[in-house]
Amino acid sequence: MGDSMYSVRTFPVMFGKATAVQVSALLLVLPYLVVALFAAAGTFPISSFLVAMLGFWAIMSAKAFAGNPSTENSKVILAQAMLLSLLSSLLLALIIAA
Amino acid sequence: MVKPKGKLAALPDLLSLELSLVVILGFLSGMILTSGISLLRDFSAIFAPALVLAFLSFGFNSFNAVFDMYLDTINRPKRPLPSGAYSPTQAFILSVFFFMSAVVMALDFSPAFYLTSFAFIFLAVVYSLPPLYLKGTAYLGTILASFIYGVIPVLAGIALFAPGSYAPYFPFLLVTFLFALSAVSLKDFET
Repeated sequence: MGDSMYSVRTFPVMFGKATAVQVSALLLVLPYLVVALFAAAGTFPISSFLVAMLGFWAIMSAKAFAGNPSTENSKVILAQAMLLSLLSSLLLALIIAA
Repeated sequence: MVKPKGKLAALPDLLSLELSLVVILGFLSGMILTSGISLLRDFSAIFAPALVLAFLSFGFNSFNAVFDMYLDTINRPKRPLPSGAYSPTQAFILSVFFFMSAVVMALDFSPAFYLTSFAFIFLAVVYSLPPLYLKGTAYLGTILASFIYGVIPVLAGIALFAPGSYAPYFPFLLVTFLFALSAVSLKDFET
């Protein structure tokens, strides 16, 4: 890959592809765990658990990605993750502002 | 040799329109946090600052494309620069145009918003421009890209209506940073 040839330190170059897939799958779910944690701690309103529940979708995406970490599948999962995270951010902002 | 697209057809790819949507929605999140949803009804209050953020994103992506050309030639030869739809000079001029337009437009808003816009450009340059080229460094490049897309747009939204009171929003900023981090790490697998 050009990334490794030119020493661009992407996750697959740094960790090797198998570990990088696990790290990325974990990172997909992590924000929702943090939201749940903040909701439980009272930092976010209790209704923020609605956003944390979207983490189940992230878990399914992470499983789908870990099962097939091909370039094509990563593009689909990336599109899903971006859409889900944008909607989650907006929903969380609405819940906090309400 | 890949047949080049026309300039107009290649423009959305050069500017990465989908990423400008990420930046604008992040900005709207920041605005909603500080001012509530009622502000969304006032289109005139949103449009101009959102356009500043979109221009910053356009500038960043065309600037980044110039300095990533050698990588894209191998990994993504259909992108606008390797395919020949745009020359590096044309892409660079476009990025300067968008950055300067954003800076001039940002002068109309609060000083905090202006500074946030300027920080976006500074971080974009540090991310892409050799010899700094933080994109190529372990962890720091990923963290910086996540900060640019996940934190700066939200900060811009906060800076517009509640400049100076960032501390209450740190937990929210951490969450948006983590969302961006997950997307940036997945993007590594595209090539």
